[in-house]
Amino acid sequence: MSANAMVLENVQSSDRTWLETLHEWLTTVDHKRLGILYILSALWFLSLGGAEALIIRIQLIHAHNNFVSPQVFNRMFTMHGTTMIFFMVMPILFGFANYLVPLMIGARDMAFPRLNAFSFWLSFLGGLLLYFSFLGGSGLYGAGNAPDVGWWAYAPLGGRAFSPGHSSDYWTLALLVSGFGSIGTAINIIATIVSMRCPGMKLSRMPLMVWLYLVMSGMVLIAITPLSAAQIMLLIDRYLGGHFFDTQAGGSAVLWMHFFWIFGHPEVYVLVIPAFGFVSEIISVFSRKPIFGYPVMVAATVAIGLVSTSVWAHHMFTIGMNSYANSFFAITTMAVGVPTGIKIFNWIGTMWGGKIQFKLPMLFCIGFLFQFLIAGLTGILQAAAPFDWQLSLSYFVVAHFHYVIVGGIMFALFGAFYYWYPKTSGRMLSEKLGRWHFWLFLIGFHLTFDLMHIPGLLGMPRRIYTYEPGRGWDTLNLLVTIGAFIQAVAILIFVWNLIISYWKGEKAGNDPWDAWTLEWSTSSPPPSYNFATVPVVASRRPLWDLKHPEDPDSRYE
Amino acid sequence: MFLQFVSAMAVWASEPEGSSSNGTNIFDPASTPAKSIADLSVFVLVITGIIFVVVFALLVYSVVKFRGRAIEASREPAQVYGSTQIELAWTIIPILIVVVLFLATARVIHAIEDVPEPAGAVDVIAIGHQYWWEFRYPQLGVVTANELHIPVSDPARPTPTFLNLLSADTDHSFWVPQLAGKTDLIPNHPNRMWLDPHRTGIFLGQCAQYCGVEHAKMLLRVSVDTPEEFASWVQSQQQPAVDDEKVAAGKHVFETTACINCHAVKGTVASGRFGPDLTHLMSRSTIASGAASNTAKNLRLWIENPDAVKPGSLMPAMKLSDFDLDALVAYMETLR
Amino acid sequence: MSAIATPFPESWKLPYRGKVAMAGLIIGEAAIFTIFVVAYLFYVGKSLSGPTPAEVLETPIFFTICLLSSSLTVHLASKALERGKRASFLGMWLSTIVLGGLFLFGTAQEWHRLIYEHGLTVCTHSTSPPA
Repeated sequence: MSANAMVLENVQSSDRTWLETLHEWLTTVDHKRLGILYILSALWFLSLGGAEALIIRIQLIHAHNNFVSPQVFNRMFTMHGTTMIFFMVMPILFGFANYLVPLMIGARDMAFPRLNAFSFWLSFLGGLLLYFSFLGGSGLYGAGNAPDVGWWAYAPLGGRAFSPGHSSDYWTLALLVSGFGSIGTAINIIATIVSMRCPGMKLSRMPLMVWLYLVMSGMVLIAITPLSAAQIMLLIDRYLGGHFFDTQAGGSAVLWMHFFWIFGHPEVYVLVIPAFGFVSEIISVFSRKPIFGYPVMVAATVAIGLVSTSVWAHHMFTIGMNSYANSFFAITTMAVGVPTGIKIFNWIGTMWGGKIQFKLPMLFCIGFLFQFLIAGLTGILQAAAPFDWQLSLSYFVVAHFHYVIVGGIMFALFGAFYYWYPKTSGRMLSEKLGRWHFWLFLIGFHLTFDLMHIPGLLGMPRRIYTYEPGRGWDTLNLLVTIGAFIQAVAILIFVWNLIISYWKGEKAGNDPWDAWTLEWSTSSPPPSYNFATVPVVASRRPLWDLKHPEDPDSRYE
Repeated sequence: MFLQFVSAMAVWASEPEGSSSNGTNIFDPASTPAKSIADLSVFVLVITGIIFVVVFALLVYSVVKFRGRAIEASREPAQVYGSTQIELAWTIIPILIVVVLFLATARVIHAIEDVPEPAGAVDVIAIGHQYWWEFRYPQLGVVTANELHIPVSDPARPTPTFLNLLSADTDHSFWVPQLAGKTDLIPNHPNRMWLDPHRTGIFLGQCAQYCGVEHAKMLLRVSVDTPEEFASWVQSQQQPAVDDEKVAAGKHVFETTACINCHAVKGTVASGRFGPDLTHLMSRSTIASGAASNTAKNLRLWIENPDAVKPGSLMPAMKLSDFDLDALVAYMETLR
Repeated sequence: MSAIATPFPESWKLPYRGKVAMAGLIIGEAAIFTIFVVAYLFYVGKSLSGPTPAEVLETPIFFTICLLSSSLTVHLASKALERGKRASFLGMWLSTIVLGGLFLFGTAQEWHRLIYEHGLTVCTHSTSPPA
């Protein structure tokens, strides 16, 4: 079999009506189509969550501002957090997994295509349900309204006593529904990776990204489920007279916190581990070297997965746990920084001695390295629990986690977009627009999130709809807001690039980046069956072996 | 990161010692817990700063030194798969760093949390409400709201203040950055914290745990007084309310409308606990937990239409006539 | 690619995807129920008004045997089906249904007793009377 895999001609008639096309997309079980649906839906929710962020930033542009009322502001930050985490980042990562994992392991589709479709639509329905709350929440004054209890819905604020009406129920149900979708996809990914690899692809020969998705999916199974359990108990409190979290009847607010963060902390690793996957693939190809220390990278990821289940109460350092508990969570949190740091060194090790090509995917990944380093270090700062007694619940934390999610995960995602868009569409994204996107976003990101740390150090708490003048927060907030708008412009350029390149982009061919994993051996876009013949592999980089028969990886692994 | 570190240092170094106007800068501590935290934070910042500089330098070096030139694109670089020694080194060093950081951290955790209460301490019970602070001094028989008075603590003979933190409704958090790290007020979960301010002055803070609509306006003022000032404050707070006949009309309005359901005025029939104690309302410089300064005009507006001052607060608009409202405000103004 | 590969394993056998998915599902379910159990253990005995578990709960030995043995009978049923033994399969399958039905009946009976005789519902809690 040659490097250009045999492709049977698509017998696809172009005279279908748009209704038939729509029907095809709505009923598809093909992993590539579902991947694209996940990604498109995530981009839609990105725009909604982004609009909410801009509203927040405008309101905070100076002290005692009146752009929106406190009620609206509180809904904005609740919806922004909930949307971005559950309906933007999770779906977009599942979308990339759906599209790429079967291709990377030489499979024809995911293990359970119909479960795949079901999980996507559950996820999407959850998002619609959450946004329907704006219309149907029937809050205290009769008007519909969205949840306003923060994305953690801390007890007892989320309970019946303090959250009458249905706004909190929309939060609960939307997440319960999409949570089951996430569990379905996670099961599907695990079954696909374990059971559907092509011959020769032992676990030690999978692309690193596939390993990372395996760990991430395993974590989803034990991280999302505690949230689902807690939400079921919350619903019992709200509707069946239970008192699990009803403090006025002896229930426990702290129990909710524990359950929420037992979900919440592994969840953020669920979000970042696929980003590690994208970065590993891209840095390797654009440094023209294999990933440095593949076995250790796998071990470090598994270690992160395991240790991250023991750190959750570092989100609760201020709730009054005793000194032994605080010390325990401080050390586990610092400990999880070790395998994470090792990964950064391995990525630098991959670049070291290489021949770095500064194409767009690589630019975004270099940004990722720089920013993830900083984000990790500000995480270590907060692991020192007494320091966290000042930093927690302030804008320092907000800056830290946006540094991880935007500076880390979003940058890695943009890199992934530029890298794999040619595979999914057959066209390259525009370099010129891409560079505008990169530099504008970089500048906006740093203006916003570097400066955002400072109001935290100066005592500015989070989730406040306004603040007092004269505390040194005003100018900083203004600059932070300006940075937010710069990022918004950059994202618009990116979306425009996605659209215009579909028709006008340079044709990509099978393997525009001279890469080494199986997805580049088939056409762009791949045919519906992915591979005409089942690939057989002998190393981690099957295409390297084909392109360099005199020096195959299989000799060294 | 570097920018942050530098700005943190700048912010830390810029505050003059002993200034009476205090901000909310965590690097300008005025009390032992805040100072232990600030010292630990400098230590941690220095270590992470060094890590940052080293790794950043490696990153920049590799990006610059190993950039590929198009001419040589056809020849791939040496394909290196890993190196056990290097990987071992960059595993062991971080582990050592973590051990050091942890030991420093654990020491401060115990130093702050496990302090026994000394004999001369002032006891305060702080109860968080949506959206105001209730302060009770059980041994002194004082009940007040929103503005906490505590004595300055002389290191030679310490008189720290120990706070018991409770909540009447949702979660709150007591955060006065220059005096201590924050501790939450959680219903059904009493907490304890302590302060021993080293200098007098007014210290600002606010609620840090999202507690509902007006979380942003649940501000804190802590007045650290000299021992004499504190004693005199306590003395005046222990007195029942001033009973001035000239404002009897206003007092009558107060006692016959719903005010007494929520508020208490010592020495009268009003003994409600849902809202702040108003016995010595005029001894405070702000109203509505810092949402407005304590002037007659603001007070009148607050009673007439709380949503104009703090939209969503739990004080209802009392729907009084102008005549009654004026009389009531006049009465309130006598509650020194 | 087969030109380069060292001869791949003659039989490339991977675990059956159905089993892997079931394992994943069971892990997820175990996690959900662990949280419920933790909540139960946190609150057990803390009720000031309601009955304590010791007062009202009895170990349902008979119904537990029914439930556990129904796992055995369904396993035997599927093995019989694999071997094409229809009569055996029918017997085991019906036994499973009967045992499962008995268990459900026993559980319903227990809950009926707890709710109507002892007033033990999800509302019973530390300081509040049964709602």
